[in-house]
Amino acid sequence: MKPAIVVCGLAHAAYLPLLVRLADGGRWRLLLLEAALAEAAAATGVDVRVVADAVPPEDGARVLDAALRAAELLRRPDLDAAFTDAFRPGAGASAWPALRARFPAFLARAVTRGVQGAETARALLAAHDVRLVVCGFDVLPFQRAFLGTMHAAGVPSLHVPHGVFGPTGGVVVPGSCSEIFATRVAAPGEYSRRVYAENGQPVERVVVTGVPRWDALPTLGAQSPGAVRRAMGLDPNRPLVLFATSWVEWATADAPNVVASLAPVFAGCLRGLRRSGGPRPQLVVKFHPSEIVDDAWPPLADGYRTLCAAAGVDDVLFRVGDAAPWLAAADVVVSINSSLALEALLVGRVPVNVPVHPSAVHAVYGPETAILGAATPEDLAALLEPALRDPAVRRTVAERRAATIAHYVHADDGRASARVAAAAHALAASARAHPLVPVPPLVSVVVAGGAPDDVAAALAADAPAVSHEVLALEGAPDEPFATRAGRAVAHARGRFVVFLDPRAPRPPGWLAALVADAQGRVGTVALGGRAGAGAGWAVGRRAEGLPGTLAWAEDAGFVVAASGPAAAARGCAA
Amino acid sequence: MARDAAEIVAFDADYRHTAVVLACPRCGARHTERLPAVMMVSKPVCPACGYADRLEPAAIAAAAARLLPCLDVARMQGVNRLVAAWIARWLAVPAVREVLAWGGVELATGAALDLFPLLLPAAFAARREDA
Repeated sequence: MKPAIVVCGLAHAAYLPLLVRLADGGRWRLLLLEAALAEAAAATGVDVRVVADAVPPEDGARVLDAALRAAELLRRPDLDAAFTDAFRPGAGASAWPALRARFPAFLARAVTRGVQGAETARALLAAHDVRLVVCGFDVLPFQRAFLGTMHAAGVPSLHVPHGVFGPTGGVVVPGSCSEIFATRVAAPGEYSRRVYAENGQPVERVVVTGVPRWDALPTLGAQSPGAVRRAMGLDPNRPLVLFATSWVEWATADAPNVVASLAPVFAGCLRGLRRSGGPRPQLVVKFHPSEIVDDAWPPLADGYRTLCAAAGVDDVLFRVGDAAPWLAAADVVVSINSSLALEALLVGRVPVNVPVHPSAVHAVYGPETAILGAATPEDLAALLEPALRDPAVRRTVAERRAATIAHYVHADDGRASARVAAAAHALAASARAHPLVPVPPLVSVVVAGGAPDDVAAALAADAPAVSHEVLALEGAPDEPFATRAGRAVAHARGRFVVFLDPRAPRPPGWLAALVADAQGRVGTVALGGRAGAGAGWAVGRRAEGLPGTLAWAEDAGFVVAASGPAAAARGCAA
Repeated sequence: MARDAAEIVAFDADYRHTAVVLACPRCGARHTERLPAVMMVSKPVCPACGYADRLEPAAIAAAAARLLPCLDVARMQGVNRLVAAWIARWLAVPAVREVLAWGGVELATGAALDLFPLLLPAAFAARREDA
């Protein structure tokens, strides 16, 4: 089977050169979780497969069942005390009573995405010779579970961040990319490596490469903005300001400040345009991709239009999609806490950045860089005219450009894709030097009193979605059943061990149902077994002390017993 | 004639969306309007009496300035630290670790992303009481 690299979260058209390099002339098959670049990649001769159908639907029975079960379990009254302690802010009252009602929904959502990610990875590992994952995101629940499952199977990962992330003052917060989760990170520049180090992350896992998505940007700057505008059918003689919008990511305490700032910052930009002398500048508003999800784009444009109308500014273009052509057409690019300032610099335009929290902690670009900073909306209004027309300001930006690019994005040589691909292949090769650990099955089915091959064939048809292995209960017939069972558990690789008497009747889907039930159980060391002849199966959780906590009564079927309080509550008797 | 606008009385959020809690100017009922983007125009309708409203970015920004905390850097970092500590302590509860394990893979760190917005208002409130 041809070795494969899974690519996910890298669907922007500008990643096509990276895909071509990852494929390395046909040495690697690329498995794409998103289909956007598949056709273009195939047209270049890349061996590419779209594997989006490996993602189980969120309303699929197993995913839904896991999510609902997780939500239900956290409503257990006996967990209240633990959660009350967990959410106590020092000596004050616990926040848990105010949080309780919202947790089931949160947990159902997180588990849904996580289980989808894990099951997707399992499906790909079962069907392909996966050697590496190259991903654009590693913080979302789906991706974390996907990468975690790959890592557990011995498959390394390389995270290619889509931009430069701000410092978090040493506090690792989930949404900031302040934590390294992948095996390696292809960091944009030394700046990012320093930020990871400040957050206590292992910098030996950081490879500085530049940003592949930006490889083509320096060449876009070869033409003057006026020439680009003429080619686009715009007025070449009126300067153009590109305003790049931002979104609100509620995974940092800074989020409220962003909510309060977005409208005033845009209003500041409009005031600056009205004050500008000379030919009246053109304004293009380029929406952030995260702002236009859920079909929000027409009402979003309406929102910006209300502020334009209030400021007496008309003749504004609103655009979605690729920013690159607009960067080339612009004289000045205004961004809000965004890597787009660096993209503008790579194209050779004048970047103005507004850090919506005017503090050193959250300001990405220092005052010594080529990126002009506007701390307040009024600063932005005052800065636009000099950014557009003051030769001294534009000269300063030009003089600082090389050092800023070197610090933040390594180089403007257009070779970040090559460096990332080299890092990816080195990572895959180093992993190949060690035998890959096969992904363990979820369930080990130990067959007692029948033929394992028959059971394996039946389960292949009845439970194809449940990763499992089938083992025989080995040992001499006169050996105690508990001893043989203990040996089987020791050999089993699954998270759950099911003991099966194949002579007992079983309903269709019994294993899937049993495992779905077992997945969510909290504090239960064994379940499903019962006294009495013909019980048919018993299932236990390997991690919790099997077989020592169990007793077996062969003449009464499989009796599962446990000493844990939850098991006792479920009526399991020793 | 200008219609009365619903009053924004609170903010809510998940990782990707901001939401506002609105008080209907006609019947007083409260409901939550989820906003894919805070700069959009939305047209909430009161679920109790059907009153149709229009919500614009300037009103959201003004309400945010009025209702949401504007913290200095030290306090903001204090809130971040508190939420991070809460998440870590919650994830350490054995029952939670069980629920967030799937086939031997931990789903916990991914869940933290969705958990942060849920905890943020409580952390703001806790730090406000400390002040």
